[in-house]
Amino acid sequence: MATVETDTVTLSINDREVTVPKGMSLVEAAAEAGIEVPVFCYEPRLGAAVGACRMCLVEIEGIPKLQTACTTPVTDGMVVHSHSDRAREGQDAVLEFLLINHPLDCPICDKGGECPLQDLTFRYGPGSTRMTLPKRTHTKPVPISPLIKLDRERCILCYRCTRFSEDVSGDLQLVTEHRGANSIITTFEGRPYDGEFSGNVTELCPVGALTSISYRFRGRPWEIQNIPTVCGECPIGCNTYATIREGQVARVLSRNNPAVDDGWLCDRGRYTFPSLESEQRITTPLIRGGRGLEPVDGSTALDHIADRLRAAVERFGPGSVAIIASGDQTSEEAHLWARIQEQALGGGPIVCGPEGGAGWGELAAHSATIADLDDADLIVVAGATDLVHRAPILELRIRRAVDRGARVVTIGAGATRLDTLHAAEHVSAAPGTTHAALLAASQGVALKGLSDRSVILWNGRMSAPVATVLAHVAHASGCRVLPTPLAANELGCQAAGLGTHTPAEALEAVEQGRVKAVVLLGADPVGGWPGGDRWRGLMERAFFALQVSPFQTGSSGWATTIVPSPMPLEKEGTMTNIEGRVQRLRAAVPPPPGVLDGIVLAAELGRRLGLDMPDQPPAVFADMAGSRAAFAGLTWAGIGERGVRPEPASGSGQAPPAPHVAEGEPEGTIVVGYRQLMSGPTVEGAPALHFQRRSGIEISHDDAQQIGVATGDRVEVSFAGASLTGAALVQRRLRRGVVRLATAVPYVGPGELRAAPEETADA
Amino acid sequence: MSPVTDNLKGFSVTFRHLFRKPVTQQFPEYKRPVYPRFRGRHRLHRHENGLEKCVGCSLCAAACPADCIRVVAAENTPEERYSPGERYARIYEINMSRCIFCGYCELACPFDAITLGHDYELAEMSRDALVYTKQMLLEPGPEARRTPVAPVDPYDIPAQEDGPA
Ligand code: SF4
Ligand code: SF4
Ligand code: SF4
Ligand code: FES
Repeated sequence: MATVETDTVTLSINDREVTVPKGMSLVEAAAEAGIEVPVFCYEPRLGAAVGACRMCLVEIEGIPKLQTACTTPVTDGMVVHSHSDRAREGQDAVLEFLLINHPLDCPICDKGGECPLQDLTFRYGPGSTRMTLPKRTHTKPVPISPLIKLDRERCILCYRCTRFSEDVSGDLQLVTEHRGANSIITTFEGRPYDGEFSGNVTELCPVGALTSISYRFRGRPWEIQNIPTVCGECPIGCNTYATIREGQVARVLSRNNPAVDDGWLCDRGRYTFPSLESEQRITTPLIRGGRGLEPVDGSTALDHIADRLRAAVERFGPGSVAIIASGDQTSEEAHLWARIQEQALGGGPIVCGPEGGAGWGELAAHSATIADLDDADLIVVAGATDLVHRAPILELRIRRAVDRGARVVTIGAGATRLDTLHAAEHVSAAPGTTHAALLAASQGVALKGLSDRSVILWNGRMSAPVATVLAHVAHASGCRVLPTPLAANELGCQAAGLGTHTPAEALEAVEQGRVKAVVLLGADPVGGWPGGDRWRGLMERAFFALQVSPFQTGSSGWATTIVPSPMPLEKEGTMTNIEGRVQRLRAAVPPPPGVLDGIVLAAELGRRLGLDMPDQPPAVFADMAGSRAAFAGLTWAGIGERGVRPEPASGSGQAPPAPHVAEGEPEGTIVVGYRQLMSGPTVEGAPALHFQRRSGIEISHDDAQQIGVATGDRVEVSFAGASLTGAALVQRRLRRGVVRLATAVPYVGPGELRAAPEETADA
Repeated sequence: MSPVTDNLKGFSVTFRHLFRKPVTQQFPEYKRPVYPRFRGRHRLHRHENGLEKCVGCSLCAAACPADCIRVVAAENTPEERYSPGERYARIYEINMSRCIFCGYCELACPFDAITLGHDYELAEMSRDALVYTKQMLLEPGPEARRTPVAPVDPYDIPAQEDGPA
């Protein structure tokens, strides 16, 4: 037989022939053949196998010693036995060794019942121990952050956690100290593990060494249900399981969807569930009366709202009601509210999120998927701030793509985490002109090689000029673009008709006196949107101001009627994520008593206004699929566990209009105020997360020297008519003239920076 | 054989028993002792130093075929310590109206914290009262409700009117 150069090899595992691609590890090849090799440290998502735990010992004919299957690549004609007497003896011995110092306090341990060490010991290990000497002991458990506790006695030193910290999230905070049997897992210099992705190590740890404090002793696997849902905290829509015990959410776990999250979650998604029981939640409808806000029952509130809205339309004409939505609503809620606005209220303005809806339509034909990042050869990240604040999980994907050899170019103000990647190139751009820099770079050498295997991640506000630039660049080079919306379901809301105006257009309509009543859907324009004063003016003068929100917010003071709404973990519906994937949200727990379901609320209101509206999620979805083009052809049942991504409308193929961008660099100090990941009412309701908030005012090295401050000194920034004092954080890589800080209200624009006067002792 | 003789024969048994001493035991005046391994009402035990043996691991709840055990665990603090180790049962409830007294919980418990005792007097006027809380289960149990354990064969016909105290 002539030997042919092929990319596959054939080997035999436990007498089964299997043909697999070259370079595969034995563990994977065995899995292909339907044979399980026990593992602890092997986890392909963490990068190359390290062979730390020795659990995967197998016998390979011709090699005298047992080999670790995870680190051994397959070769042609290999004969492997994973269940032979020698292999079993090796596996048994490894487990006996692992258990020598293991405390075996399973009844106390949170991992008990879902512990790989328990399971593998049961199946492969010794029935009893020969160890009679005292075990090694450690202080237990030690908190490594307000979120996670570490029990070093249980640790089997598989290094999954440190590999995650080093290779996946890149925060380099979990490390090993000491050598050999004395090795311990610890945080760098004993500081709290402060990283947006820290919670993932609790899921990676194959024993009960790293556990979530919020889930401590809350339940056993046989006492809980895992409800498959999606995270409603950001537009990625990571797939999750909400673990329910006795009617309460006890934890949130990832539900690996390789196309979306790859099995990782950020800490905001994982640890904000305690906000479901936050004190700040509104649990009864309130109507402003003579003595302030007075609680009423649901149907009274609905009657009142319907009456006021009808009165507004009668008195001021159709179109006099504005709907201001946050973009966190499910698409079904959005569809019903949009129908109310279109069919009952005469089509007034609808705003979706503080950034509005401009420009998305232009980009549909060029839209990238999240998975496109995996095989992209060039990833461009354009924006003035860290990507983690708008699209947290994508950072992990980009890091992995870089490990696989992708080039990363960042365009922006600099000093972001992606800039520090070893392969990253940086193009400096003044905030506010990033799109111009992108356009210039795409025509110059910086983005040479932009092709149909490249992805541009637009990490900032979408607007008409930005969309024009992106469409132009994408059309010219064939690359795809992935812009980041701000709110969790911004794209779904817009597709469902909730979002016809930008905030600026709506404010204009308000100031021309066309809008007399306002409905706030989860939005807090007074407290959290640019132009807060103008929004407040609208609410003050409004004939009727309704707020539908889970929480009291800065806008509540001006609302004349407040109706509580459920949070994402309490809703049934669908959400559309950053790449246009429609995913199912499942109610893990019912909303608190007194809180009407979002769909029922809108449907009941619609009925009172004379519309015929369904009030069950599948029926609403069908109604929506029938009338909104973006959902055409989708069915409720067809969404499934993994969601569906309808093919985006292909463009006309014609070249988009050439963008005109203003020439010239802005002068003076530019302040970038961004909404940080760990902010908002849900984070507010989860105090354990607060330590992860970023504080400090980032200033560039040159500016620091100019005003004579160093990191830690107090500086004062004034912008948008307000001024803020905080500790300076001097960033060498930050662009000169840029001042960056986390603010409640996003802002990019001119400002002033000066050293703050020394605080007096009694100040 | 005629019907007459048949009937007489049958009734003779009845009449014989009319003059026998009755075997009926007068509960609650007489409480029949149980076998030493009889499985009755559960008890939760303490260590000698007074700490609870139960750590709230829920293994008993997992083993229970009637699903009548509810355990909600919590963390011991130095100020409030209930059991050795980090974990204790904050809530421990057994729904006696569902319990089938199989003793699986006893078998499952890694700390011998729960055993089935000898008390079988569990009747209540309401079902709610049959949900036994940790306070009711934790030893020392209420003295008055403890059924005596006799060193004798419980199925022996008692010699005197009252059973052993
Ligand atoms: S890590 Fe697993 S084996 Fe170890 S004590 Fe916990 S449950 Fe038991
Ligand atoms: S803490 Fe867990 S994940 Fe980390 S090395 Fe120990 S056993 Fe492995
Ligand atoms: S009684 Fe035993 S098995 Fe049940 S929770 Fe307590 S320690 Fe665990
Ligand atoms: S799984 Fe192979 S050595 Fe750990």
